[in-house]
Amino acid sequence: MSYDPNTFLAELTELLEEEAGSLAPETSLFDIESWDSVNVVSFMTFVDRKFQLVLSPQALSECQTVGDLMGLVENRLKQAA
Amino acid sequence: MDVRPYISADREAAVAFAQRIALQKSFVIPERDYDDYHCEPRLLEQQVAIDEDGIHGGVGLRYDPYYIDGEKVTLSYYAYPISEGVVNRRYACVGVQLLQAAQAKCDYLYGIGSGGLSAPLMQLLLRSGFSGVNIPFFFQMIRPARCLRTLPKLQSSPLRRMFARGAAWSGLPWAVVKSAQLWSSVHNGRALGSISYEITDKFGPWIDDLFDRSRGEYRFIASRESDVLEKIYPAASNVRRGVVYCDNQRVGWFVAIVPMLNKEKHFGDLKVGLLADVFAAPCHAHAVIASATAYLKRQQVDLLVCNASHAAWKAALRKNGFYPGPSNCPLTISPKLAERVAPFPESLAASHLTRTDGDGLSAFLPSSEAMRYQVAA
Repeated sequence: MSYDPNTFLAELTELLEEEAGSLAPETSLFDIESWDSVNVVSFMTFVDRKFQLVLSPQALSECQTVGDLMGLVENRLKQAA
Repeated sequence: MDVRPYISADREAAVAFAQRIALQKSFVIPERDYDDYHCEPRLLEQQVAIDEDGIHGGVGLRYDPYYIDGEKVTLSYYAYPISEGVVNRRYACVGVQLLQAAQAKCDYLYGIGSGGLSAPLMQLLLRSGFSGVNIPFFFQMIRPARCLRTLPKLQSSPLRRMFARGAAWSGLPWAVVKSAQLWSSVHNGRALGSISYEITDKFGPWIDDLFDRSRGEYRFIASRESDVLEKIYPAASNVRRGVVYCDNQRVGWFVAIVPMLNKEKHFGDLKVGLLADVFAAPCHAHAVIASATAYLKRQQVDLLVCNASHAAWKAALRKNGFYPGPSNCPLTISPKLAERVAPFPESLAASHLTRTDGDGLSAFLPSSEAMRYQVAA
């Protein structure tokens, strides 16, 4: 599955049940009300299913913004390629 | 972030953590001397999520003896997880780290809680690959008019309130319930024959023989051996233990909580009797439920409640005037445990689980007594 940043952002927004267009790469994860442990698991499951990538919570805990999450997935995909 | 067992040198960090989350949740500072808590029979290992800044989460892992298909197996109860994520989203991943560390340590992990499968902890477990199902719930209104006027769920909208109060006023529910009880007592009167019960302060060693003889009839069951029971069911002011006889032979037992402490006020101000735990061979389920029901009815309660999973116990509850209701008592089990008890949840009907599996009586005791009982204390 190929990675497209805009699609990824839209899917992340939907996963977190945030308003369409409300998330941007510079959005702090800590300002997103729905960024909790349940949605951390949902995000890990989503990435696993869509990209066959297993992310560790340790790696996720180092992300501070939506852009960091995008970068993490993008880098892991490059490494896997 | 490292997840590891709590040590007493962590105390200062634990106090600081408890203070940071105090507005949302309470974190009880672990003591090392768990043996002082005589009510807790099973070893609890407190894990903490810790980094150079301090503690950011914790969970208890309690090792519980169970029997699966006749074989003794240790399950780990995922007890009272808490993360700093509840007050600071910077730590949103801590809950997942605690769970993954627990899974790395224990194959057979389970959680039982309240609030149903939609509760945040249950959602976390389910989305992490656990399987879940609510343990069936049964109730019996002893004073139907009072129940209809008082149950918060029936007062939650003007329309519901109007119908509930109208029904209470009409006397119809009373007539229906009394007719059902009369039918049940006539029907059971023929079937019960020589069933009797007595309330006792202590279960004796005989329950080990009973458990050994009967546990094989259940696919999945927590140990109900005497040493475990004496500790799970402490001599608290509202805990009653009943021994059930058929033809003067001991065939089973029950533990009733009366009145049940109703912290979450699901039942408003009703006086509720909880049939907390029961055990017998499935063929004697009816005798035990009939005895427990008879005892609880004498305690002037408004409502009786019980959770039970096994088909024979569910049938016995129905036969004794209980009705199924919406359950908010979810059981979730790890993928490896689900494999072991496959097909799950279908196997639940052949397994014996009640309301006191998991966190035992801690939710139902008067608060002063519950403090002694808290596994995480």
